[in-house]
This record gives sequence, C-alpha cells and structure tokens, in this order.
Amino acid sequence: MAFVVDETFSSISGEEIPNIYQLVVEKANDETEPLDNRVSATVENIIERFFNDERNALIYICSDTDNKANLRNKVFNRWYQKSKLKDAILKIEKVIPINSPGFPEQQIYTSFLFHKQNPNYKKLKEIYNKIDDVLNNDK
Amino acid sequence: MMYFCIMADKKEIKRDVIIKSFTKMVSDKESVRAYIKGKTTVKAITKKGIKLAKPL
Repeated sequence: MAFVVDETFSSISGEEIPNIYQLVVEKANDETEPLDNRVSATVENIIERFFNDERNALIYICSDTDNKANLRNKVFNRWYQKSKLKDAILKIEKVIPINSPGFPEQQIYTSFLFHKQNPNYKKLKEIYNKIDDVLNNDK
Repeated sequence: MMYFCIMADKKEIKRDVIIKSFTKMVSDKESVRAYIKGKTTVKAITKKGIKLAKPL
C-alpha cells in the first residue's frame, strides 16, 4: 500500500489544499492467491489510522486493468458500506470521463473520502462537486 | 463580447485542468503499482513528480 500526495484539488481550485492523498493498493507479486480476510482487515486498519488525523482526505481511483474498474468500484463501495468507518468518514463517488490526447479513452471511477470533522469539510465537498458542474454543464 | 470570450476561456481552462489532473492521477497510480511490484525504482517515480507520503 502506498500514499501519494495528490494535488488535484489544488489544481482545480487554484489554491493550496493540503493533506489530500491518493491511496494505491497493489499486490507485490502477480501470483493468484486464495481470499484472505486479513488483507481487507489490514487495509481497513491502515485507513482508520490515516483518519486519526481529521485533516487527512483520501482519493481512490479504480484501476481499469482488464476493464474491471466498475467491478473494483463496486467492491470498494461494498467495503465502505460495511465499514465501521462509515459513521465518521464521508465517501463521495464520481465517474470522470477521460478523453485526452495520448491517453486511452476511459471512465475513471473515483471515490473521495474525508472526515466529517475535517476543518475544510465544506470546501472539499464544494470542489469535488464542482467537477461535475464543469464537466457536464460547461460544455 | 470580449467578456463572453474570457468566460469561455476560463471554462475551457478549468475543464482542461480537471482532465489533466485526473489523467495524471491514473498515470501516477500505474507508476506506483509498478513500484510496489518492484518493476520500477523510487528514483524513477520521483522523477515523474510523484511524491510518496507517510501520513500515518
């Protein structure tokens, strides 16, 4: 698992929005292994610790490897629905259509998670929701 | 007229910024996945402007 500093919100808003990270979850090898519930428990534990700092926010995108982005998104949503973090952490989803030169045309399934006590709660929600306005209404 | 042209430009830039930001996000994710799998180095991903963090 790795956290990457994400500057998407800063780029979109034009102001510095700190404490936003992209979460990358990946197996270290390509071998197929049986389902291990300890993996999801560990991931949940790390996310829980991440949100011990209420200023932290997380953006997660579902990889479209094997055209399974939609499926991965559903798995992630199911995890959140069952998670004990649900009471404290808000999750908003968006599907971003990407049609950019030199980049395969695709739908990016994104989830944005942030603490309900985040001091930038209103601003974060506003910026994330602005994405739809710009992509859908400003054509 | 000029006002509308400026407004249109602003919207274009914004749209462009969003598409670029999310395209970078996807590309960053792929690079970090490769790093976790040992297919690339931390130096190579840092060179791409990717900042790994330890927020825990």
